[in-house]
Amino acid sequence: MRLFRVSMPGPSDSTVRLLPNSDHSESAASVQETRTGPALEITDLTKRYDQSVAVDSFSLKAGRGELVALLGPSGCGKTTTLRMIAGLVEPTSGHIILEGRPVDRVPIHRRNIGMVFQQYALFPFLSVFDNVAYGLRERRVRKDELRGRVLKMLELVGLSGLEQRRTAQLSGGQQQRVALARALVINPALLLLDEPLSNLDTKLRERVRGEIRDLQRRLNITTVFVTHDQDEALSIAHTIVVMRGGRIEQIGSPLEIYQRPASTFVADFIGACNLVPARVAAVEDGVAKCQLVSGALATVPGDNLRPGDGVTLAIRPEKLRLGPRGEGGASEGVSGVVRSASYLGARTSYEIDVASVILRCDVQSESTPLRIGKAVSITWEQGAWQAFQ
Amino acid sequence: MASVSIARPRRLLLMWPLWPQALLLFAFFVVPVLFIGFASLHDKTGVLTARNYLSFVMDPYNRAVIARTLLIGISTTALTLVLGYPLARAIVRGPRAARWFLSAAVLFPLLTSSIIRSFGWLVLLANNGLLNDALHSVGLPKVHLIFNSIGVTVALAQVLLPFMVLSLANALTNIDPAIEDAATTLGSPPLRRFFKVTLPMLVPGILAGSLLVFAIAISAFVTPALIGGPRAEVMATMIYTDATQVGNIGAASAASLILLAMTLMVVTLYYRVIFSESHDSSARPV
Repeated sequence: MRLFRVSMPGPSDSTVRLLPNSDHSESAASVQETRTGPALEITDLTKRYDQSVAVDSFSLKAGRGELVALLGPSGCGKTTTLRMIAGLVEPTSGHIILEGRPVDRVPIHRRNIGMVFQQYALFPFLSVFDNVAYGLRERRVRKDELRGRVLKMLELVGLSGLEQRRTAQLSGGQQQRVALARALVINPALLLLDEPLSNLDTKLRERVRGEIRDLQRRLNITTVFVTHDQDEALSIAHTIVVMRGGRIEQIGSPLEIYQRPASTFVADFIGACNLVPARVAAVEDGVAKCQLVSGALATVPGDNLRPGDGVTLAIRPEKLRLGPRGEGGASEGVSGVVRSASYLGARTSYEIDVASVILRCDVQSESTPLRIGKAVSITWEQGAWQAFQ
Repeated sequence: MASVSIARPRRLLLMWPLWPQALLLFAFFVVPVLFIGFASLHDKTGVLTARNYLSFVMDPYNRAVIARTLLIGISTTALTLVLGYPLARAIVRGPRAARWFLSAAVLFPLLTSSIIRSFGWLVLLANNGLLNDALHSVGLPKVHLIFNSIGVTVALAQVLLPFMVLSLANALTNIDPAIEDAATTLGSPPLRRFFKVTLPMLVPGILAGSLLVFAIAISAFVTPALIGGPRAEVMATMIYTDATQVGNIGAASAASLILLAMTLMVVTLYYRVIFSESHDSSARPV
């Protein structure tokens, strides 16, 4: 089935275009094309190679100005998905609707999508100015207007004065900005970023990702961003799509993904997580009491659990508290022995041996860390654990 | 640099792995060229003269041979470029199975003797060969493809295609496919993308391949001798005739050195371009 959307001039959604002039060819259209529906709508996108399925029924809706992160381990299909949206890979089936217009049959060079590649893919034989101007020249933008737009965009990414440089003379961070400017100057309907920060060192990466987010919000441009780095996704995305083996594991805001992971895979992939096998002991009023291997009880929300079920319990290391043995108090807890301690500056990460199950426990660093071999008790708030069947 | 501080004799000593090659080059290239140079400057009676060169250049027939040789060199280069690029692209960017098959197919002509290959072309292109028979059977007129520059060019292009394909494939391997993808997402349809993005990055490979093909094409002997014959004489066949049949060693030597000079000119030009390219991109004033 093929979805054709009739373009309906909806009520103006008051999109502020920061860039002064959109292209002549599209300026009339872009006013008409402001609509209420999602800016990007992907339905059942699938890519099948001979035997394997790279992407399986990927569906996503993103509003205008939304920053979506595709997150997952390598080989999870996130890059293939991005390349299908760009048109660089032909989907086996599925539909992509961009600003109300189906683009399945639109050749890549007319999709009006800006893309930043992992290795930046700058044109090595062109100057910074000519790199950025490339897309505008392909759109036959008048010379004086072109110059203005390129210079304005270079100013926006902080590269003013470097117009005549060769790209080989730029640092990694500067090259990445040229790539961003080149993708944005054409006023794309959609910005695609393929692991744009993976080639930068840690310090620079944090700065650049902040800059990308600021720029994205200022221009209010719908963005899909591929990364395998959970910190990147958590810190800049509005919406995170966690992928695994070509399928979507969970879609949600960073908060939802982190606090209510839909599966043990998501729990484990996003942030550190303790996963412990347990058995449901009793269920009462939608609350299940689960018995950990050590015999301790943990209370979890569990409407669909039945006594006797085997479950996996998950808890974040920072949700566990450490104290001297015996200091159980009102909340639930277990006792264990310190196996190892990693001092991480502000926090210290302990591995606690609880009946030969290792629990990771991140606490605020104190002047003297706990000695290895010391007996401690671990406590947690009721409801801090989450159960997965 | 460290090497600057090392005394010259010691530096030569450190280059000992190059000595055998240097000796070989001296004994079998420099010395023969000196001999030929000596022979080219003497007439049959052993008197020092520049007549061999003068008469060679003055003779309109010889000038036609030079022109034909250059023309064959240029058209062979152009033909291998046009045929070689799609092949190189398929080998570098194509599916794995096609890569292996095409590489083997491209390299195969190098494994057969040039005499056998040339006879093969004769069978195909001769006036009563397979191609003309086929044309005749569908009512088309015959075309003359042997004993002229066309046949020689076609046959040479087949032999020299591997050199071009390998040079282009090598250059193509160094081009990140994402650069072409970037051009596409920025709005370039395939053909314009080729001319605006791929071609500029291919220049070193094109030059390297063209240099090889051109240099080998203008000095080729067996293929022009068999397919071109006496009616499409080139420098190499003329030198052979002068030296062995006419016995005019002086004229043959002069022609050899002119051919060598032509090749050297192309090589020099190549290095000029390559040097200015790399110079340009590494240190351009801001």
